[in-house]
Amino acid sequence: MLLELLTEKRIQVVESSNSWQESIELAGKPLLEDFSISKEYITKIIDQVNELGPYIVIMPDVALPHTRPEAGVHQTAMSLLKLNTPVVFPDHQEVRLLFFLAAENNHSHLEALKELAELLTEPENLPHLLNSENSITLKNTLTQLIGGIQS
Amino acid sequence: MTKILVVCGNGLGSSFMLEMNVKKALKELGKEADVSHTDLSSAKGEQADIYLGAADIVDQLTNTGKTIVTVQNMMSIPEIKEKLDAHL
Repeated sequence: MLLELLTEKRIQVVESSNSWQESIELAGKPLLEDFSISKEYITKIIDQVNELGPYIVIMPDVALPHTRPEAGVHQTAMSLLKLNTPVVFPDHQEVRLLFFLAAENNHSHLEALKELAELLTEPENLPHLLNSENSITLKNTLTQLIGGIQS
Repeated sequence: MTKILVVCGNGLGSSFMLEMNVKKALKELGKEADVSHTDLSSAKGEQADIYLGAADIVDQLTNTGKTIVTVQNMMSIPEIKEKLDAHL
């Protein structure tokens, strides 16, 4: 399900971002453009990080920007942004991969998150993702790694 | 049975993934516990033996006298095992 949500149009690789706020905005842009979310949803995520701290940074190098469905989700969706140069989140946490999550309810996204957790708990998988140079190689890497988990 | 409550900002994303990893860690430790996840505001009113989550979230529960376990890398089964084992 992770691969179905992360279509090629929703995967971006860029050189760098000026701020963690900008990286969240950029990560969510494909979902804004395909009407999965409203602009308020992105604003709410940034507000919540300011309020609660960088709890969306789930491990070194990886963030999962998300908030509650009622903040502005039209349909369950995910996008992925990779930064070649890390962006610094509060508490000096460096991030290069942003898995942006929009969940329309409490359950529709859980299968995708389960796959993501399985992907990220294997320590050798992250370097492969970080070494992908463009959106096509990143998608291919994801497909291979998730295929490896499921087989 | 020990009750572990996994807490995140809105009880929807990271806490679900962390709950999965806590269950995996318990299995590897050969220990049993009742594990569930919730958001920070609900956690304040919910009873559990251990409250586990990212430092910036669960630290907001510290003055309530609850047992708190903070995790740096939510995707590291070894870290979760080590930190939980001390409390089980």
